Amino acid sequence: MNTNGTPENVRKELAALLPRLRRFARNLTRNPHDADDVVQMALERGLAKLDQWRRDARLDSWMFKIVRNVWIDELRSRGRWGKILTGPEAGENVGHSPLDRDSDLLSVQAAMARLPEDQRTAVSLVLVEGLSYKEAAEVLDVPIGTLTSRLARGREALQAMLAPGDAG
Amino acid sequence: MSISDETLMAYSDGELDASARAAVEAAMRADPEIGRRVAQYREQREKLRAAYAPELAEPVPDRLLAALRDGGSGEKSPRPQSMRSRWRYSLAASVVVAIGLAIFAWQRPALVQERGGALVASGELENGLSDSLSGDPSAGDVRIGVSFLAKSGEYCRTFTLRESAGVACRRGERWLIHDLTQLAEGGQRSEAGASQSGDYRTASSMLPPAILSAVQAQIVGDPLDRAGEQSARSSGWRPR
Repeated sequence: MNTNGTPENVRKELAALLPRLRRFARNLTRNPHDADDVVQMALERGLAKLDQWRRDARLDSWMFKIVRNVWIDELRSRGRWGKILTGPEAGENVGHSPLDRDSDLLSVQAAMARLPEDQRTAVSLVLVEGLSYKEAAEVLDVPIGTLTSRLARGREALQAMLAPGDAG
Repeated sequence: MSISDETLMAYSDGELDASARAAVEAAMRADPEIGRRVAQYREQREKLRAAYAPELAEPVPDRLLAALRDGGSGEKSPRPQSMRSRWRYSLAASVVVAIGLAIFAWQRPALVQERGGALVASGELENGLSDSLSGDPSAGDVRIGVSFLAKSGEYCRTFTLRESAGVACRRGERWLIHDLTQLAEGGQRSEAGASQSGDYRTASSMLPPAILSAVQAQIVGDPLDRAGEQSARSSGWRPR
């Protein structure tokens, strides 16, 4: 790895990405505290293995993938621990956005939080973060057809929740 | 002719190649309903984009900026003194562990003693490790997180003790302290705070990530459930 100044450029790029990483992590975890924890761990993991990042790959896609992997690891450990520790699931805590002033916008987040994880991440990556189907499929490690089908189901469910009288 | 929702969605998202696009457009000319569905996808996309745009303007917490500033510099340059220890802890940093244990032992001589170069639990900590079950209301300052069988073949338990959290494993008649770290300030500081505030977080997530990863690295199977703990306790924490 070229250590001569390159990491600093990447750090700048990562700094610019931070708001999007947090936003994606919130959609993923449905909890702002978990989201920031996950982003922090993902930053550390990403910086530690920066040499594995291919320069031709998008840095945002690469980091989204790390964010998701960190969260999966965290869920795995909680799943084990959850067997003997009490407390409602983190996922119960929805509605993370301070958008109370706009009920329409709030309902988008609330509707998203009700989607199953696979649909929610697909919708989040493509519609919120603006990744292509191919990029989103790579982040999620699924074939593009799987991504497309998750996205379609997620969008159908969202449509039903956001505009129940207008479902096509 | 019918066009699937997935195809219309892909069209609205600009994901179709030229020939598929032309087919959709021809179908739209023939059937206004198809155009209406495409418009619905586009409206939905715009609605989501708009709903989530304000989050980008939120200030980024300092700790994330610090993680970005300090992370990944481990081998090339010493980490700054001001660095916050909470997330930085690495199992590889055995020197840090040793220093931490030494300070801990020095601060709490009644709870940790040195035996043949290893640190072992004593007093209240030893009693808690030997007698308490996970999640029990804490007697004193010691609280047990989870118990598990480690790859070493020993039973190990996580514990919190005031501002510290650690992993101790049963060897012979003693609890050897393997990992120890400081609990963070604020949210992760105390499990007592969790119940007081009705925090939804489980006790496990109150443990510092360093301890969680230590457990993950060592655990065989799943943590013991309550019956498993009771059984292990009655056997003196000696695996059968």
